[in-house]
Amino acid sequence: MTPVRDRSRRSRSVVLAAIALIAVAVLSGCQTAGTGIGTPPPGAIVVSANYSVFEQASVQAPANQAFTIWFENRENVPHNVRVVQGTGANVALGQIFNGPAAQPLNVPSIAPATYKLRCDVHPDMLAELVAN
Amino acid sequence: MSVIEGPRTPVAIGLRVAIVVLTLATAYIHYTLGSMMFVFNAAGYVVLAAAMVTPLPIFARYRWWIRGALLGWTVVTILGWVMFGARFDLAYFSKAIEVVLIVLLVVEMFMYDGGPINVVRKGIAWLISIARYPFNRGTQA
Repeated sequence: MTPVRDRSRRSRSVVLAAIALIAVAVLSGCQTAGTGIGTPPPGAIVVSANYSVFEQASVQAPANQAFTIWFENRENVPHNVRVVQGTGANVALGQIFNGPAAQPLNVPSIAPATYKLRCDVHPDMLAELVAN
Repeated sequence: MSVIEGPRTPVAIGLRVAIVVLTLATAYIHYTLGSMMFVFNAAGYVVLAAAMVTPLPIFARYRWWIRGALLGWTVVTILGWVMFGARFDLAYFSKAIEVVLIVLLVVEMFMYDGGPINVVRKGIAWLISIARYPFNRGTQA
């Protein structure tokens, strides 16, 4: 093979590699842009997590009727939300997922009281839910 | 001073590399979990992984202690997860890494230190010698 042909083949492969890299970058960018946090359903109670804390220290919820918690995980760290009675009994349990993303959690009808919101991954992540 | 205490066989080198890689892998997983507790846990793993391969005479002399500390750190991490940890895929993956890490550390203990029981004996003797040190020093003076 002549040196000129060899050089042109090499430069062609460099250009192809650059195109492939740009394509990967663009595609991964599109994927990231598609994973928005979304819009909470009407009437849902929004609870969000960031920097491994619940951003709301306390949220209000209706007693004696089912409702939805819209849980927004704002960081790329696994979180979930669990609603716990004062006695420690479970009321509702959300899935653990990485953010930025959001998931609804359906909570059954609960009696008027103060409940705890917890993250199973981070036991020190606490907030309260007041049902009234 | 070599990183490996005994003869530098492929098995010995592979074992040490595997221990360091698994230690750093579980450290990274804990680091990604965010809170201070996990970052502290990850830092412990990183320090012990570095101590496992630091080619200084003092580190080589106390490698049995470092190996024991890494084993203890891993066991405490698993027990902490069993008692308080969340059950999800990444946690199971991390625990699988830690179980393999424990097995490899025990193998190294048999290779260099005469097994885990001998390490415990050595550790107790070392602690007693440290506790006695001020009294011995007083006697010498």
